[in-house]
Amino acid sequence: MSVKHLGEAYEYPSENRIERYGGDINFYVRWEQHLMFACPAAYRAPVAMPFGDFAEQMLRPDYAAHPDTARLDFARCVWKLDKAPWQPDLGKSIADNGIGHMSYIEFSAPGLDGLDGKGY
Amino acid sequence: MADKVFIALQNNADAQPIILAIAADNPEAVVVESPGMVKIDCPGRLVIRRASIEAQIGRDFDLQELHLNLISLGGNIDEDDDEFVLSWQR
Amino acid sequence: MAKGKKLGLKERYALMTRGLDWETSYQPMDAVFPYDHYEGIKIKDWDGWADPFRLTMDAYWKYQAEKERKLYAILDAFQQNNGQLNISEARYLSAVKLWLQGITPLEYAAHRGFAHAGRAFRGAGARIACQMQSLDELRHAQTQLHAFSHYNKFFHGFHGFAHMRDRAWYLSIPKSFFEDAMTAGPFEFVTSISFAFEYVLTNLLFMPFVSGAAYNGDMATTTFGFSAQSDESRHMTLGLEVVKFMLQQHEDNVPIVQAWLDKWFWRGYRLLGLVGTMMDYMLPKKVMSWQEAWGIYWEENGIALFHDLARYGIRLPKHHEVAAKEKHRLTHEMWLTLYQYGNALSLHTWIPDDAELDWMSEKYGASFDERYRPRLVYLREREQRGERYFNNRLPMVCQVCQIPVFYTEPDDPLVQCVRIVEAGGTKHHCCSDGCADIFRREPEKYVQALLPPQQIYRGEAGGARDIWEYAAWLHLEKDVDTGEYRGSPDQQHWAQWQQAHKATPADAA
Repeated sequence: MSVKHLGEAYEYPSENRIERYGGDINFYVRWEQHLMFACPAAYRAPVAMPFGDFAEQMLRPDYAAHPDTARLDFARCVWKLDKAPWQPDLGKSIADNGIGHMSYIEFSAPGLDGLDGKGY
Repeated sequence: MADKVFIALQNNADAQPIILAIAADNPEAVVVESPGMVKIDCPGRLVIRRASIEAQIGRDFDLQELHLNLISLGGNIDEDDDEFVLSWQR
Repeated sequence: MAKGKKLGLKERYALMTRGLDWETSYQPMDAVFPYDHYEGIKIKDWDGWADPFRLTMDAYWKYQAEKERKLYAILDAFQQNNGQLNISEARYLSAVKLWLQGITPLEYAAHRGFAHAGRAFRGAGARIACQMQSLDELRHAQTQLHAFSHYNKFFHGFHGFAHMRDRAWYLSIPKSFFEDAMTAGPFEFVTSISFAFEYVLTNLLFMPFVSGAAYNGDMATTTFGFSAQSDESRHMTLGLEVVKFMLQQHEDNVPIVQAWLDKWFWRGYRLLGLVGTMMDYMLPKKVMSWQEAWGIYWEENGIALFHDLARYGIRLPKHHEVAAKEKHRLTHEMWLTLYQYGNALSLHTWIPDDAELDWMSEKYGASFDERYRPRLVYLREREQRGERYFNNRLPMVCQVCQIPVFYTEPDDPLVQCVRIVEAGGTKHHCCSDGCADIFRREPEKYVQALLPPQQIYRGEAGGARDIWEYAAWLHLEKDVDTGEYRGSPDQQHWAQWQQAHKATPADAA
């Protein structure tokens, strides 16, 4: 389907196109079983940043409020990229791990299932 | 059972004779009061008769005066000078 | 017709709404009215359009004037008698702030939209109905601003609604809803606003919520709310009429109308989650739960309407069963979201007290006790030990409804629901199958959406780098307009005024 319209062709670029990020990209991350963080979180990061640095310097501080975070070990997590199983290399860059603009990352940490193990 | 039509009116003095007339003319109508409003549900069809309201208030009444105290309704409307009818088609 | 005989209602309506227009001669009608056929809706006879209320312009002025007189008499009395002191509690005003910020601008948008739709239709009956509605909507915007202006003298968070309308993340939800409708053709616009939104869904706003305002002592909101709703009845009737009109005119219109009903039911339902949260959480004295209201106004009254339309080949809107699965958890999930992003809201959030939690347990039963009550209690304990929880990271936002993606899977309340859609080689995210369907139907439209978190990251929100700078760009003062209710200036003022209000002359002496 497409938009019914009057006049010229109805064509517009994505408002959030990668060209507007000055070399960085915008992507999203969710920690499963931790609904205290109500939504997947949005990030802007340089593609050359090592993924391990991103995890420790950006993700971890965001989760500081949760009691599970002290025991969170990114090296032992189970990951998905755009809903497909994925094994990131923490030493490699965001780009080299295959993360692109508007990618969606999910991960779970074995043994950490939220407050009282109830997903929050 | 037929789907219910409904009308809701502000719960004020002006609306009381209208509510009484509706209750008298529609034996199956159920009047539910909430803060500030009255909702009247009725299976299938509900009629508001000008003559019944006039009998309550002792003066001429134009059915379009309903607009002043109307809150909401559900159903197909058929209105003329004498009756305001809400119904779902069977 | 006998001389001097009073005309009947039906005759008056026919005389006052027919034969007022003319066939154009310098230009073809299709060129003068390009908007009323490009959507694919086929109309054989515009005179098939009738307003069942048969309201003519003279009667419209007469009754609207009477409503205004009543309304302003009450607003004057409310202001002169310090009506703001009679509300149940100052936190109730979070609901009123959300109304002012989120809903009042929609009234104004509706005024514009119906002015446009009135110009776009070639049938005189439709044009007159749109003209009246356009005037109504302007009236609603004005009376709401007038009523709320009194609260602005005493409480924080009312100051920036016009500034925030084009900036605030949570106000992009209602704004995008209306802009989606206004950028569609006139038939879709009227279907979306008059039918799907006003007939099917706004009863939930104007009936249980306004009744709740009455219960919480808010005479200003109750009065304009019900005064506006009496216009709303006319709009709903117009909405049902336009849908029946399209369906009766040509069978080719049926699938087009069905697609619009599917789309606008879902968009309206998503938007109304905010209203449900107002009912369940923001009213200190509660009237009816969202789940109960949904049962009455959608499952009973709304579905009756769709049964009535079945004779034209219309079925229930897609994904209505998802709404049923979400009804016991929608408001809890939404409030927990607003609570953690309360650092960028022009209203306060809080954890309900024990009596309110008991009310929710009674209304929502085991699922509330199992999942949401423990979360609320945990957050309250944190707050009491000085660790009030805020989420400082910007959320993913749905590309269609623009709501932060907090909803859980229809069949799994522990897993967030995220749908990935693609257009033009770029991925986008939706909160539900309902929104993903809407995206896929018109991807070129939704890729243009301006989503606040992305806007911030692109440096287009006044250069704000985090949620605190963003709040300042919204003209929000931290912990005054925003944040936790307990300990806020609004709460402290309220306590002082209540103390003074209760003091007897003997106390003063």
